[in-house]
Amino acid sequence: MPNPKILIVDDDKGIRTQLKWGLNGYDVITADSRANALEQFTLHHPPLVTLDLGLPPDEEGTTEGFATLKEILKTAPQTKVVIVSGSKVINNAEIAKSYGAFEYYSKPLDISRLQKIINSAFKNYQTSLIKE
Amino acid sequence: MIIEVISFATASVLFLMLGLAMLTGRRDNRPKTMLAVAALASAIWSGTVTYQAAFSNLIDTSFLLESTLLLELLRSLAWFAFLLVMLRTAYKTSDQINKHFKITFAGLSIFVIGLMMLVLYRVSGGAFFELVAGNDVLIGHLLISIGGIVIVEQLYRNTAGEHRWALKYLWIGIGSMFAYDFYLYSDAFLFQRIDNELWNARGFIHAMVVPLIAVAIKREMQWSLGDESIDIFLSRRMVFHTTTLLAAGAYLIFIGFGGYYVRDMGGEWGVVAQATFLFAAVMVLVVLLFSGQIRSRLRVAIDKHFFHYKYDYREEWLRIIRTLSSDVSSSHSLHLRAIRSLAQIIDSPGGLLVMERNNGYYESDEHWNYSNENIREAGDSTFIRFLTEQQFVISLDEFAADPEMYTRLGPLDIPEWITNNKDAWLVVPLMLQDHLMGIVVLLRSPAHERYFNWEDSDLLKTAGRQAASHLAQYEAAQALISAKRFEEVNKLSAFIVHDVKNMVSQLSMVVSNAARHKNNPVFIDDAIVTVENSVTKMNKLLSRLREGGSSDQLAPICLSELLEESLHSYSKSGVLPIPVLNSINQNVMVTADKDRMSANIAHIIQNAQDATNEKGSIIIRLKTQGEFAIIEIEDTGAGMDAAFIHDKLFQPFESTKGTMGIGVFQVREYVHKLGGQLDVESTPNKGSLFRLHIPLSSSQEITHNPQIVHLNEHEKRQ
Repeated sequence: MPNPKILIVDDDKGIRTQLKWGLNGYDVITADSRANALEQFTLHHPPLVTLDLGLPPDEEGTTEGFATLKEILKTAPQTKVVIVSGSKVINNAEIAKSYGAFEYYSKPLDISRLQKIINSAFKNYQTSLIKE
Repeated sequence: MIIEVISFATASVLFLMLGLAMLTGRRDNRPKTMLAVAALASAIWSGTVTYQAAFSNLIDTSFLLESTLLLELLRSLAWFAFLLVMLRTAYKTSDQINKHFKITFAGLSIFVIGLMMLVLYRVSGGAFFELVAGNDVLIGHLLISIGGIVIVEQLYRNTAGEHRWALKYLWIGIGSMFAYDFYLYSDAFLFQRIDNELWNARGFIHAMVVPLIAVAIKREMQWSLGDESIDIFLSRRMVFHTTTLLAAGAYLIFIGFGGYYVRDMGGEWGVVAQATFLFAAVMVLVVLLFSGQIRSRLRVAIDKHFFHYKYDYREEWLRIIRTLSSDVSSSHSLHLRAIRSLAQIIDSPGGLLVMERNNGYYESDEHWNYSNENIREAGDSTFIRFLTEQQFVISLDEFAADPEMYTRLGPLDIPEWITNNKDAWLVVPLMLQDHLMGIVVLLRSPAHERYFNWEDSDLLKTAGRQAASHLAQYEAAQALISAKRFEEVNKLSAFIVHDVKNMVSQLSMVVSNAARHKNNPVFIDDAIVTVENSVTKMNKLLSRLREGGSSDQLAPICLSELLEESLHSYSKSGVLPIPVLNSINQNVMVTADKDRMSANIAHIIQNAQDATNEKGSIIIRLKTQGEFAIIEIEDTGAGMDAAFIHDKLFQPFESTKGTMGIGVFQVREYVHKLGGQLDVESTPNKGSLFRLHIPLSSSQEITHNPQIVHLNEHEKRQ
């Protein structure tokens, strides 16, 4: 059985590269912007997505990230999206959850912690598939 | 003879007083000057008549008699001049009448001067005009009095309704003067002699005119029928003493009559009763005169009812505003100017400003010729509470003399930091609505002894309010500047935190990943790329910190390329409706930061996508107009009503989407920063059109500039 796919959306090249090496048991696809992410998502239909909120051209805000989140969940509501953000705005987590994100994880990244969150997201995804 | 003397002397004295009063105050008022001339001419004439009557037995009065004839004519001429000046003011608006006026005035002048010549001729002994001899002057006087009555009647008719209640006294007074003269001279003409009784009464009759004129002046300082006004200045002290003396005199006369009555009715006790009565009355008078309370009440009553205001409020107000809002860049702070604006009202040489602080205390803020102390007054002290509740200007002299005057309104202790300064004189509250923002303590005016009255207090209190609102405005502006700085720091720290977190993340991942993949050469390559990426990020961060947080890199950018690039990514993302480029003008260059420009355009496109359903359309146009590039983004979406555009669209942090990204507010701010503008046209249920005007890059006209070519080549080489 092939590894489940995960889409890593982050504008930082170093993060994308290292997450590719660090996440065990997943087939990693990467994207660096909203348009690129939606393109890759349509192409691969990954059950899992990690999403940075600060995407170009609004790296210091959250519009691009939230727009990507909404569009992904609109296309495939069962997708488990883990928000990985460096933004320090407190209510971003609440907003993300209200849009349907699975988890909100604040940078800096600890790979083993993120691995656990992604594993649990995948389990959750499988459970929801069985229920359906 | 004695009656004649008293009669004309009274007239002379009263007219002299009126004339002198009219010479005080401002001089640039024609009716006022003419009234002064007329009154003084009357005074001189009556004075000469008095003198002639008093000394006719002792000296040769033939010269005097001739002079009085001439002076009487001069006096008539002066009154005519006054009436005509008033009449001209009344007629001011009409040129036609103005012409008539000139003719009338010239005619009358010639007539009166002719009469004077005639008098001179007769005095010189000539026997011309035998036919009317003896009656010519008489007829002349008759005609003058008729002319006077006619002009007064004209004036009364031409006085606007709202002025009548004041000016009618003037017209009645002057009219009766001429009417009496008419009666006197017609009687003289009929019986060929001047009636002695009528002549003697003439002085009294004329004297009666003066109080009527005074009433008119009192009733309306804005006297004229136009906008010229009459102001009179009389020393308050003089009026106070005169009033006191008159009152005392009237009282004594009344008591004198009382005394006679007591003696007449008292029989045996008559003289004793009279002496006792008079003595008691004088004692009462002395007690009254020495009573401070009665004196001060009289003073206030005179101030309030007999005087025009102590200040020229228009001037004072302009001066206060000028002082408060003088050049901000000047070396004097607003706080210093606030003290000075209040001090100049009452000629105070210095003052201290005490302002409320966030901790609830009132602390010294600024001083001007006032020994600087560190002052701290608790917000709940009786002093602060009194000022807040009563909103009074406290006169420290008054408080020292009669504390109860203040304390009956509420508890009040003057703090030591004020009483320690012996020159401290007034405490002015700076009220902002019902809140005490601060206090100004003013020093005593050394130049002259000024007594402080209700008018000073009212003006200071109001000026204090004005100063408070200026200070509040200043403080709000300062707070805004601090908030902006804080926001800048916040922004700066936000991107530092963001970038550092990313760097920490990737480097720590390199370390943790190395544990598993260190023998994989591909990983090593990737690790090097990651570290390189971090180094680039750090360098960017450092350069941004050096530039103070601004990441803008202004460079000429080609808008058509930028639009094509961003639309390409939109078409790949699959979000509907896909924006379509229409009528693209190639090679439109503007100078801006490429990333921010593209973020701003992207924001408007996203808004359009959010507002438009999948079947709708979004059209983008690029054109130039004069020195501007125009980007139009038009959608067929939900649209906005005018109220939303006006009240909400451009508000920062206002979003219908629950996120706090770049709003239309920031797009507009950025476009403004570039020297452009953002227009919005929208109709609900039809769609919106956003139009960005951005100044064309100066290199637009010089596309073939070698520098640009060089830059491009340089980029290619890189």
